[in-house]
Amino acid sequence: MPVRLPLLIPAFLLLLRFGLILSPLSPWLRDDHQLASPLTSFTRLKEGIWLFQKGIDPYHGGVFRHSPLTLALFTTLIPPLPLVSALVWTAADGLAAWCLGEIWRARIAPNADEGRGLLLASLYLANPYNLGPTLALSTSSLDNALLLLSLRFAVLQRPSPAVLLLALLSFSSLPAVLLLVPLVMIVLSGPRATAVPRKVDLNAAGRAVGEFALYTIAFAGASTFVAGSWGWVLQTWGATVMLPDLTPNPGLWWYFFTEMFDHYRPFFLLTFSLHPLIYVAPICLKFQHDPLFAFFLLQGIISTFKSYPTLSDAGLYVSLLGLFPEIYTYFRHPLVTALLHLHAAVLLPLFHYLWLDAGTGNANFFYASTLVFGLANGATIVDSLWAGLRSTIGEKDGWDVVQL
Amino acid sequence: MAAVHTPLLEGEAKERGEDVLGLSLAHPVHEDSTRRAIVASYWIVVLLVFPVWYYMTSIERLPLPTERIDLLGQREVQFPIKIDVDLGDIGDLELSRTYPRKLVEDLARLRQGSSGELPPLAFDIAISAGEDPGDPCTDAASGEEEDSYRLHFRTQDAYPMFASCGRHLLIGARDGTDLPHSVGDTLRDLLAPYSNSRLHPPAAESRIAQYSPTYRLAFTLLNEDASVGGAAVGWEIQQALSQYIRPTLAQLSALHNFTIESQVQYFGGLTFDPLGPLSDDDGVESWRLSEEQMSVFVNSAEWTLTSGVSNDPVLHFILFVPSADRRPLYTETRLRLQRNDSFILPQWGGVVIHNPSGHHEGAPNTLLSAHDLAGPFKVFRSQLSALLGVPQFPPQVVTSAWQHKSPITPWQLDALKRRRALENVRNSADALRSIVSLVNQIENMPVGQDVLGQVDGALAALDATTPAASSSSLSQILAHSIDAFTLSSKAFFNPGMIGLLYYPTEHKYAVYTPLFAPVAVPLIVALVREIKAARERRRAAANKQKTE
Amino acid sequence: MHLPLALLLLLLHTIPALGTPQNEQFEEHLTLRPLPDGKVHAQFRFITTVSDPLKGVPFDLADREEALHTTLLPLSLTQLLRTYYTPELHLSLNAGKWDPLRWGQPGGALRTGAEMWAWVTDSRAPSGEGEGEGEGEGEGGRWQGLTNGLAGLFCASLSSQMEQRTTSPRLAFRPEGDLPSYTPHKLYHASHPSESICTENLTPFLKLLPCKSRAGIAQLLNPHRAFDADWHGMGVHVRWSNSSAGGETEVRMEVGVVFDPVRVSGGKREWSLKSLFDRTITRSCPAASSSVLTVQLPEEMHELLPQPAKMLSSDGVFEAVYDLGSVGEEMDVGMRWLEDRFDYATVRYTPPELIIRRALKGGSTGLSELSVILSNTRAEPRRVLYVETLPWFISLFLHTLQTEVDGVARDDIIQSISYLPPVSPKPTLLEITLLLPASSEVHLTMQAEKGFIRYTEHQPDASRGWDLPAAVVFPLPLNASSSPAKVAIGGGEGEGRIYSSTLLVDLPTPDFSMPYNVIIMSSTLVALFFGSVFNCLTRRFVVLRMPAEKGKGKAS
Repeated sequence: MPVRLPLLIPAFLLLLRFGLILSPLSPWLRDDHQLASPLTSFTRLKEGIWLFQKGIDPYHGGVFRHSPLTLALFTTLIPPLPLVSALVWTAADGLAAWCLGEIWRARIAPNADEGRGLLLASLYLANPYNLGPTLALSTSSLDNALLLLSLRFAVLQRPSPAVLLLALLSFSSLPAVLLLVPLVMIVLSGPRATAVPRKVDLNAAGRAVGEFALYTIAFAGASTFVAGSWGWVLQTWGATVMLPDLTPNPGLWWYFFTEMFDHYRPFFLLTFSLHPLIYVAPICLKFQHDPLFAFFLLQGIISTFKSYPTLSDAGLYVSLLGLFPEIYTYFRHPLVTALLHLHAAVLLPLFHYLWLDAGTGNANFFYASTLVFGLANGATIVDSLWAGLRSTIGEKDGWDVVQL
Repeated sequence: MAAVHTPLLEGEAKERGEDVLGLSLAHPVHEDSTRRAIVASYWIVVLLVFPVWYYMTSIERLPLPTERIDLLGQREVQFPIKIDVDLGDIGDLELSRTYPRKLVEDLARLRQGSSGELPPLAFDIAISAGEDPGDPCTDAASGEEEDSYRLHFRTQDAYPMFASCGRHLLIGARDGTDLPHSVGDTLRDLLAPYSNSRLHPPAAESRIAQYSPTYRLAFTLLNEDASVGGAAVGWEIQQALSQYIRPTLAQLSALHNFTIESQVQYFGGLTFDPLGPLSDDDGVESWRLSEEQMSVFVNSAEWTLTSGVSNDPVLHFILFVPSADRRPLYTETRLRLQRNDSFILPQWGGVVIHNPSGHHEGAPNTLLSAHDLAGPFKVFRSQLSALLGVPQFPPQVVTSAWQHKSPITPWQLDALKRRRALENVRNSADALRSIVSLVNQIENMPVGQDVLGQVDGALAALDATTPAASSSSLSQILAHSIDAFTLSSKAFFNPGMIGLLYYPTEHKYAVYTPLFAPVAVPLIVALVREIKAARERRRAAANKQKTE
Repeated sequence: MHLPLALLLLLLHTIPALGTPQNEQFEEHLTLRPLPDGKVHAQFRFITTVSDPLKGVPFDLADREEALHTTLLPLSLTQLLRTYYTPELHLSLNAGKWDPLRWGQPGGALRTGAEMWAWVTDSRAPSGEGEGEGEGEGEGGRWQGLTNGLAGLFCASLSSQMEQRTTSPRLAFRPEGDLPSYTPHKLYHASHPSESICTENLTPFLKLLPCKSRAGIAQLLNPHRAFDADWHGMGVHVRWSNSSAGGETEVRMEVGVVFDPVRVSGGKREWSLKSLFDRTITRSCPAASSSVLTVQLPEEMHELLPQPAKMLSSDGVFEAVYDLGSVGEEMDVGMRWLEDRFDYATVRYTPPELIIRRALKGGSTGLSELSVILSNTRAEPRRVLYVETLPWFISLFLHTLQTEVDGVARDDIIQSISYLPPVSPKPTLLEITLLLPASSEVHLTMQAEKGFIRYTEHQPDASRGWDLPAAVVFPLPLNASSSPAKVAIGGGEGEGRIYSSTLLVDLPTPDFSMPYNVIIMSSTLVALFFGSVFNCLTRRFVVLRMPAEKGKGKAS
């Protein structure tokens, strides 16, 4: 029977991934600082598994910072053999792409526009920001898949699986907790934008939040059981907040805290950790009518300002942008933003190589390229925000809309 | 001109029939209430973080009890002295009536004019007369009360003019009128010897080492050059110590804790050459150390005299054996009565030069037995007493035979205790006052809980030394003064009291401003706007109510 | 006729009676060993033995307040050990790299830089500790106090960065003496690879000797010559043994120097005390009960002056022994060979039994590779313990540990691994027990990652890099059940352990001139973003009617 042509593209991309992971390209990329952070690196995962199997507490030192649940998964169900990991990562990416398509379909229901969903999935798979970390076997790809799966369940207005998956995700990536509020809002109001705000059903919301708390506690207990003690809290969640490992990454924290004086360090760590938190309430309040958009914006903020980002965070955020075509006409400076992204994408690996491999550059080069990357992401978020607001007003010849 | 389109105008435009579809500000996202909620949510987070910031960046500066410290200067320590006068067999009843008054006058004079500074003594005098005299030295030799002294007058000729045993002073008064030194003067020499500049010259005062609750005594047998022979390669130090030094240490145990260490050195070279050889009147050749040479005698660069393990102050005692080709070695003295083979280095220790009998090179090396060490260790003992501040005993008072077993009389010990207690109280008060002024001057200096505890402890100990406190015997005053001294030193030298001098205020501003100034501006502007708008609304609502 | 009598009297007068007290004994020993490559190894040993329990290190914790009276023992060192309850201490301070191929493997502490390990009593002292000792008690506090004291005693910065250098090895380093059995002891080990020795360390060392540098063998220690040598080092080793009643304490102080007469004299390898040290022995030490100079005789034809009093032979090596107990006038010993110039090409070296080579390969990014090659030249298999301590910023990935024997990957070489991951700032401790096959080369590789450390944690000369301490290899007996035999006092020292070289690792540095710039730039970006988002969210939208413009036709 004839297979639909458009389906071949994502299938091909998945096969490409599978092949590339098994090729020698993957070990070469495995410890690249842009693709894998200390929280998501595959090498560290294997080291943690080895320590665990030898009876040494993997959370005793600072090498292993994955969550105990990941440790449990990879020591029991999924052995970290090359073929198995290639399958797992490819499957995760496929799942993420499929969820993205499903989310789009749920958003435009009852209209059906199959083509664009497939396009979104293919773009997700083809995006080098996502391809790179997958080839590097960074667990951030698995995190993305979890997030998109949770979002899909939320979009289908099924609170329990959504909240469960988000709780699971928060163990690998603590800032994902901030997405609880928009997720619950999506569960309650659905994926589509509404003109009239719905009454918030506080009971249902409370139940969802309570379930989240319950799942978190359960998972925390399971983690403690796996790890044997509470040491994992400091090494995984504590690492996100206290930044013990100053390995370079595309984010803004590492160099700031490399150069920061010890006396001010605790306060600035607190400030930087709370910074994404301060946006949750305003954005959710402003976009009550379109919680999916709020989710998208918050995910963008998290991926720009989290402590250990990788390129897959930016990739997820940029892929989610494809869910909102209605705002494209309202971008104020799309060309600038796109060029900034291109600029950063070229500079990041170049200056990283110059600093650490060739030795002819110094740390400031790479730091500057992370600033450009941060600026590019920030510009995207601000522009999307403005466009999202502007799109609620509409167009008419002869009239212009400005902000005071 | 561009016209501003508001929902009101939209209604009007609809009336005019204009097509305004597709452009509407009616979407709930643009409502004022949403905006107010947003600004409020930003401000709530900021206000919640503010106390956390304050807590995290503040330096712990607990308040010191400054009022109590200020009042310290007005306090006075008073040492209670109880004097029992036993007139004995002075038959003259007239004298037995007038003499107590004369004694009181003498003691009153003590308080006023005197060549030195008197400690604050509170006298309590009781007179008893006509009892069976007895010999106070043989009765009740032990069991003496602290702070309580007894004067016994005797008219028998068998008694010398002034004699003392324990805390008793026996005065041989033949007829009670012509005593060469007044009883008051002798009492002053016994009770407050530091105020008598003849008994306690300034040279003796400068020798006294500073008070410390623990002292390390380092004894060294220092051979100048053992390779030429005739050296002392060992000594029976433990016996000598237990015979001569330890009794003194036991007597001083209320004041100091002592640790002893000793060593033998074989090559302790001098940095200079002694003067000589000189022949003295008897034709004997000897070498001499001049006074200048004595002051640079200790070759600290070459001699490792103490272990340096702890921070306790050290008193060094060196038994110096000159090399066999430069013997005998003496010091130059102008006074015939002074010993010519020992000297004290003020506040540091003492040196005794031992010239063994083997004068020539190649003589066998010897071990110093306890018998050989008797002389030097007696000198060490007196040097130790001088360094620790034990006052001289007045020469006009004869001490009885059994005093030699305990080399320091209770009079001297009590006077030393009074002196040290007073010193400690004064130094503690000074330290506490310095702490307060230092903390006030340096703003970044943290004051932790431990410092506060130590200051409180020192103040409590100082309170316990005042007459108002219930305990007021000399040993208790001394113990409290030692506590006060220790605690105030600990508080003053507390390592946490180093101010955060590395972070001047400009750096603080430089670090905080780039992030928080641009962040604060829109927050504040928005807040101000909202407040103004709220006021406008209230005024408009009030106006509307008025017009209705 | 009178001459022999006069000579006898003269002789009697020149021999001072050694009236040392009982229970304490001081011996000094100098060994001169000509090496195959023309160099000369001089090893000074000063051994003080005390069998009076009151003078040694106390084991009864209440004994500490007792007075300490020493005659021959150095007071400062003994008092330090008593204060911190240390029955066994080893300290070595070396400069240069010991070349086992050319110079042999005499055993002992041959690590480049400073190395110190001690067994410290682990229990708390009874009540009544004096002030100032509060910080010296408890876990780690005594070790800290001990290192501070030693640093002050020898004027070496041994106590800096103690936390970053101290480990407690589980399998390595057995005590050479006994440890008092009724209280537990903990082993602490620290090494400072970049610390070297100079005159300011030698001077306090010499002051600890009874005769200092005025008499006896120590007269030869001329700092100008000693520190010009290819390898020089000093060591202090204190151990206690339970042999006699009350125990016996031995303090062994050593100085080792490897001279190069060929370089100094321009081609000839003859030497004498005068030419090596620029000094001779003029006086004998009155405190020494035995003062001996031993010269190991090489196999070639040589001439030794003056004639030795005794010849000994042990293990096939001939030694000439001179007694320095009674030195009348200058004593100078020299050796000459019958040749004009020394020819390096004719030298044949016997390879040592165990060779270790270590390297850290790889660029700055990604993972580096720690590569260790252990060569066993003996014809029988050997069991060794390999001990590696790395600072906390080097993370090892042990799951990548691979072993190859002569190029072939094998799994059965490693018998056990004991690994303590680094917890900043404490270092890593890796102890691997290996069975080396006969006449083989074993290649261990594992990946390591160089960490990124804070601006304030870098050293002042950050571009130089960090020194990684040498790895140590301990030979173990072949049967795995017994622990390595304890060495009796006076027997072999050092258990034949072998040190690798130190490595210099270059960490990626941030820009040190930039703290405020970075703060400003990052803060600006964050503030910019914050401000933009805030404005977007809180400002009012206003719809403006655009005026109709000629040519831009948009009908109103």
